Amino acid sequence: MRMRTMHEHGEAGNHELARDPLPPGHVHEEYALHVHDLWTGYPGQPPAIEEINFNVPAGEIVGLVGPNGAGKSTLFKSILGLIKPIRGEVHAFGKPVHEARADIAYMPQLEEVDWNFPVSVTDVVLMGRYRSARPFGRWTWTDREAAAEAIERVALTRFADRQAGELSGGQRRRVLMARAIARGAGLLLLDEPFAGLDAAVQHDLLEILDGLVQEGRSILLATHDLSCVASCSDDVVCLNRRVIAEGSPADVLTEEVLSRTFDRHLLTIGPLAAAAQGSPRGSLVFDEHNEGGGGT
Amino acid sequence: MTEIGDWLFDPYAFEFMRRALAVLLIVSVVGGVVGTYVVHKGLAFSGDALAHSTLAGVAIAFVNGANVSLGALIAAVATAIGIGWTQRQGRVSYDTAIGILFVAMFSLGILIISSRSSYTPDLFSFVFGNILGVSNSDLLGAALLGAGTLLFVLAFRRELTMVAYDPAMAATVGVPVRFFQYVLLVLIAVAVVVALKAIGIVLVNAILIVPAATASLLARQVQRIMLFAVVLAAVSSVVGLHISFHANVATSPAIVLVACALFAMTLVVTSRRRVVTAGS
Amino acid sequence: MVRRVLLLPALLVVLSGVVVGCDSEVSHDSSEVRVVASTALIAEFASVVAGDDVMVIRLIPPGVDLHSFEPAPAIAAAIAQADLILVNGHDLEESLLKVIEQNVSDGVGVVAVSDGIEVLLATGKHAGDDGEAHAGVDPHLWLDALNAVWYVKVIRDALIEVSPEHVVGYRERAAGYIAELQSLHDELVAELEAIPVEERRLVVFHDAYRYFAAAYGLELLAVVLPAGAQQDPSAGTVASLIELVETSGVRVVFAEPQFNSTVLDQIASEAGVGVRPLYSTFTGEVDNYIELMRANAGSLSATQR
Repeated sequence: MRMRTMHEHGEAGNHELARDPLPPGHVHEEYALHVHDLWTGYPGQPPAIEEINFNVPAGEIVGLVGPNGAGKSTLFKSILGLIKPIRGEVHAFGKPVHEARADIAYMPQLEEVDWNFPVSVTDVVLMGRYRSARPFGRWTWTDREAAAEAIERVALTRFADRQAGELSGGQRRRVLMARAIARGAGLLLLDEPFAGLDAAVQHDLLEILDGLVQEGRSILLATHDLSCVASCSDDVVCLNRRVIAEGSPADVLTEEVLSRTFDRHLLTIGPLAAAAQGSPRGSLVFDEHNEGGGGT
Repeated sequence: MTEIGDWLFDPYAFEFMRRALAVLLIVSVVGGVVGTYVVHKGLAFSGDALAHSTLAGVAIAFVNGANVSLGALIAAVATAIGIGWTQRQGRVSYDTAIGILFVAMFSLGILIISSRSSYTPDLFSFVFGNILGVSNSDLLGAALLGAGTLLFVLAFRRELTMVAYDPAMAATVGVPVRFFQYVLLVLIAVAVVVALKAIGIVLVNAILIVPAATASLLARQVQRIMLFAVVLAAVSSVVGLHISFHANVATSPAIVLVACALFAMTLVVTSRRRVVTAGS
Repeated sequence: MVRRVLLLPALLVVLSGVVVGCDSEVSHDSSEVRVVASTALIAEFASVVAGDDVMVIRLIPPGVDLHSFEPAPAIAAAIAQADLILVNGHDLEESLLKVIEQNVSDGVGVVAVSDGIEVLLATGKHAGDDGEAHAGVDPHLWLDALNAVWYVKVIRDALIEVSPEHVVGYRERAAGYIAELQSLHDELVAELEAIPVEERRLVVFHDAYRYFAAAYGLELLAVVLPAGAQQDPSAGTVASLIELVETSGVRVVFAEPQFNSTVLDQIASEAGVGVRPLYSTFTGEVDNYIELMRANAGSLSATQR
């Protein structure tokens, strides 16, 4: 996919290419996710994200990169229907998001979950099957089967009855992933799925993601880890309150784009660019607080 | 052999003992079920806080000639909602929110009473019942409370657990998270007020905390913990009541100490088997 | 940086010093003599004797449980401005006594109106037998009308000492009231004598009736909460009280309206007896001493009907 326009911070920029060529209101069934002219913010403050336009085509992995405060979580919350946008629309599989709850699965960051609460791995994964608030609702046989399958998929079957909090960090990630998988949704939103994991565990997670995509599911993942994004995504969206760039990793993960995105002057993009070409992944991990990257 | 039979069953020849037992068993159900959430969501302080917060409601009701028990209930529910609101808006822990509301409401009650210069009975004692003086209305109130609580938790156990474990994700799948967070607090408030009238403050506090804490040493899954908690609460009640009768000591503390002893024993027994969890 | 850190603690020390060193005497208009009484009952007696000659201020509102009483600053102010302070004696007012001690102006007398009366111990023995008499003394002396007479005399004498210019009025009013109290006493003796001996037995909630029982020929059978309203009773005690009531043949047990007495109610209902009120302090309806004593007698003799 070719790269779309770059935006200057705070300037009007060239809108034509950025704006979706089809008129608003047109339903995009072929897109798992369609975000159109989205502006979202919190009351009493300037918008956290502005003029967001991008798509997640079916069966693809899109990586969302940006520094802290870029608006990644705000964007996720808007997609998940947790905040009402100031303007713009978000559609999943052609439907507005509040109608598409069953089609979207969410994997939050580890820190947001109360791991001390006594629930088993199976209990947690079953939560992914939840549809609507009904008194005396129960999990069906189908729900339990789907949960067991998802647990199997992330290789946690022998921990199925253990308290989720007893598991290690990597295992906990897998539990949350299983929960997202169990939902059977076409679109998965993953918030920092690789943070703090060692290379081997990351590799395992990536394999699971590949499997999901091969089934036809779509994934939008937010991450700091550029090298991972470089090798696993079909598309990358660089976000810093606005879409700085969108396109294939090779096109987008350039020094100029990343500098704008991360507000830093970044050197040594060599290994990164190589990774984007699909060659063996370098172990480059970006520390945005450094001037320039560093190899490990 | 009949001696042991006598020792076991003689106390229940007295009506007050039968009533006490009935109320305790009902409240054990409420305490075990609600207590499981209390212990695992950092709300252990809330029982005491809500009980004391009723003083404000009782004082205001009394001064205006209104029904004192109703005042107590309104004050407790208002405090519960206040705790929820403070925790969200202030972004503080539940402990802190509870602490603030506790002292505010209790002091409000004391303030109002201190401004009185005419006849003022011991208001607080009218809110706190005594397990040995359970009236028909106390029994009925406890039964209704027990049934209501059980029904509610059974009806929404999935939602309550999801909100406790991962409110962010729960919201994304359509659980009304804020509603359930507030409802849990209000549930605790109602349970406290009704139980208070039946069994007094010492017991109310204990029954929300100790059995569930002990149960958490024995099981690691919400539903099983609740079940164990109810059983432990019931056992503590029966044993404590018996000790109070035969050894001539106060009932509430006897029950509480039995419950705590059970906790201590369980702790010792399970400490050898317990796996140290990596990071919490 | 170091200096700033030291500033706050130093400030705190200085402030405390200022507060402590401050003169605790509060000046007031010395023409008006102020008499402060701790309880509503003592205040009533003092008002009767004082008439309009001096101002009587009452510290504790009626019905308030002394254990949970929280004095407002106005009380400390009233104490500081008092020319005479009247308390019951034998630690009835508990924590309030400390407040009085801290705030009373120099040279002002604190008079215990029950001083000199032969006391009963909470265990039923007479004081003076051993050196430990002070602890465990029952302070509810006023429920014997003859002790009330003593109270009035002590109050009268204290008033005379603090404002001798009104001596005539004091003596007159005191004498009049004492006469009333003495006839009240005779009235009560007569009324309660009429009750058959077997029925002159009291099972009460609150332990305040020792002197009442002794003065009017009653037998104190049992007290539900001997250690005060804050006490938590044992199931064994409740069971034995029920048995006691059943075997004793009493037809009524006695509660006090300002306490929540559900345990007493339960005992009564299980033993099949009634519950009637007894008063040890003023309430909304019973707000003076003579009425209080008559109400108590009435409660007892009503069981006869």
